Amino acid sequence: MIGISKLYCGTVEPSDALRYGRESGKLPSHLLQFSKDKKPVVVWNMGRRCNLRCVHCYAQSKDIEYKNELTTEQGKELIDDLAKFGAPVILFSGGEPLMRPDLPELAQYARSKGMRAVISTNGTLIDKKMAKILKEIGLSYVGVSLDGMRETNDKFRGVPGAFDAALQGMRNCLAEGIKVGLRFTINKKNVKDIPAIFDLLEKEKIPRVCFYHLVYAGRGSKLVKEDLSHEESRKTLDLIMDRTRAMHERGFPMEVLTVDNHCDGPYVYFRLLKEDPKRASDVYELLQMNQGNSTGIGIACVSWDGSVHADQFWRHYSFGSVKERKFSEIWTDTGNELMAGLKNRKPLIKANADRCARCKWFDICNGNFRVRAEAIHGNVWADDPACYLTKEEIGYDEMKPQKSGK
Amino acid sequence: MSKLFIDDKAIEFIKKALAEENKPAVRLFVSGGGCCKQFEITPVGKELAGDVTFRQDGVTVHVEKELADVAQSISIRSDEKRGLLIEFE
Repeated sequence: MIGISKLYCGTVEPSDALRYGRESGKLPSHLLQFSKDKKPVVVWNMGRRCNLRCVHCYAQSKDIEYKNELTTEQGKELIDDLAKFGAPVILFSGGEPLMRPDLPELAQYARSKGMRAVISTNGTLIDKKMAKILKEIGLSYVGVSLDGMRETNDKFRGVPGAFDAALQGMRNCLAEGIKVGLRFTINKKNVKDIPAIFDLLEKEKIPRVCFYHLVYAGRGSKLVKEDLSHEESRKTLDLIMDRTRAMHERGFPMEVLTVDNHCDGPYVYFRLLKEDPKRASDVYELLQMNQGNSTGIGIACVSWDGSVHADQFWRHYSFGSVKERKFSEIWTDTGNELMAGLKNRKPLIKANADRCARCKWFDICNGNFRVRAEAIHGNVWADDPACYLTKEEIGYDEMKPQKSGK
Repeated sequence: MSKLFIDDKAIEFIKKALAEENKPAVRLFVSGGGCCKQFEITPVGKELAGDVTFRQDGVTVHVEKELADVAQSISIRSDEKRGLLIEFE
């Protein structure tokens, strides 16, 4: 996750938790994560069912009842374990999390255990009544997916009217004072809508947007052909930076983030080197603190059936089920080769990759997305194909190869 | 922000971390972003522009400007069950 507004414009919101605490006069204690021992943010895909039919859905959800999902009680046991383990945030996702009637109960339970609770939703089910409920629970954040303006989004979502319903859901949350953000997954078919999305954010006073790069998982993923070329990715990042700066200069300092491609960090740094070298030096330090991709380290996923994955894109590989072992035990069991590798990936990538092995930004991106490497190369520790930095930018010829064969 | 207080156990923890990484200070900041925003502390070699610096019991703490701006005081304490905790006033 790269904070474009923070890195490029130098603005940052301290914390939603702090903001809401101040508004209510209550400022509770929060977990303070030590960088070398970070506990994961846990995405819980709490139910597979969804009222939309998105073409790119990694859960391949339908509006049908699925069996074998965690019950409310099993969900509470999971939350108990996560809270005890020190996981700072639980992100309720799906499917569509609001299709589960016990979402408010479970989110409230997580809050009572001291965790920050957020949801990722398609937004279409957030009417005024639901927005009030979400506010009462004390949700820190509601992320709503919109993958384009009306025509583009509804084509992706497979349901006419999805755009208007999602926008109304965001308006209902904002009216209740809930922090809302828009989630936009960039691909060839919707990249043209990004300028209009910025206009929409400003018009609707939506304070946050997260632009997700495409993550293709599993061998032969059909999504690969939907991804931008490297040149298109660079142009898109430039556009996002330009629009972010322009909005900040107009007095609308919204939070803009890009997600799922850590080479965005060095790319922002290169631009600042030209525009503001003094600030670039600080940005370099901030990027180092960011620590790059944290799949299997700082982000985890629990599936609807209780399976634990390295993140939400590693659904084809399970480390075990919380129905049989506690999440905290599964997550710390480095007897699993993939878990151990993700937690200490540098030697494996140095031995298997080409560009990534010789890249001078490795400690800043931490090898980017391994699941994309697996999807394209059939080797988890090979190059991430979505890295759009040039050989010159990564210092390819400055580093001696350390390959020891695949 | 005018005050930073760190309890004895947290001081001990930070000193150990600094010795292990051979760094002179820690930085307190908001990490992540979007849904993943959280409070983080990490050993650093230097402060960044705008950081507010505090010293207590031989420990130097740089606090990110945006965090310092919204709190009158910050306390860091070590909880046996939950680990490091941060509180704001």
